[in-house]
Amino acid sequence: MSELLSAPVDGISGATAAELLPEETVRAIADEIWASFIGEDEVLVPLDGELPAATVSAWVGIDGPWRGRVVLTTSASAAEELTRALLRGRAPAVLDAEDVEDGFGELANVLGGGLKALLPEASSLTLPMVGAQPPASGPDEHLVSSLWRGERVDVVVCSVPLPH
Amino acid sequence: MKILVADDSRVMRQIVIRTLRQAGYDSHEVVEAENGREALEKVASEAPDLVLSDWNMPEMTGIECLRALRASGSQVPFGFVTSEGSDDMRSTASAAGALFLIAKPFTSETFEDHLAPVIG
Repeated sequence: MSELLSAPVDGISGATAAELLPEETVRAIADEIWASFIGEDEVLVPLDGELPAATVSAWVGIDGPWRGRVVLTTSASAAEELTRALLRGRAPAVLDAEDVEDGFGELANVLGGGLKALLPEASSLTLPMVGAQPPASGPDEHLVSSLWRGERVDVVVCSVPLPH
Repeated sequence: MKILVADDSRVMRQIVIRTLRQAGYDSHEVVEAENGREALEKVASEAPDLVLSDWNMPEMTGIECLRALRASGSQVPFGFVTSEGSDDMRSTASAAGALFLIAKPFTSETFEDHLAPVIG
């Protein structure tokens, strides 16, 4: 991901991720995406569960007066099932890693875009990245956990510190 | 009728194409492009009746593609299908000559509402 280079300006720059994008906002946007793209009956249940040792994450950066990151994390199997749900009847019997990276990354992209649109000042979005280990979160990491088909799905929103 | 769908995500292109079918545009030919530069080339080679483009793409963004099309004299109907639906982006899109901006996530009804005035 391209790191976000612009300096913060007065206004929303001092706000924490949770102040700018509170839990209910994150849940509302995620619920809308799940209903539209994953399936009408697919729901994110606001409960904690266990994340497996091996997870996959997809993330996008938000670049503007507030600089932040939105990270979606779940198990590898759930990421594959989410991609299969996105493709619905067009999913091949065996999804390759590139398909899952594409589909899961696009989910993070749409989630980041939906949250970015709610910020009080105009910002831009970086292209999505996918990997086993997302970049380290800032001190205001804001975690929203859910269960989807019994698998834990985390959304983390955080500020991105300026490079020193 | 031919519709050009430009998005760097193959999965999202599939979702857009599926939504077009659900919105009733199942008899339209669809061609795909992976970024704005490829979309620009395919407008010339495929002569689509409508372009549906993502905004944020590598190589060339959707807005850069639209501006290049208009600068070259092309008046192909152009709409955005993007995850970034802020007021600022809607104004930028409109000023560049886009007919509409559909924000992701979308429904087939949203597609019908925006596409019907353009391609019936």
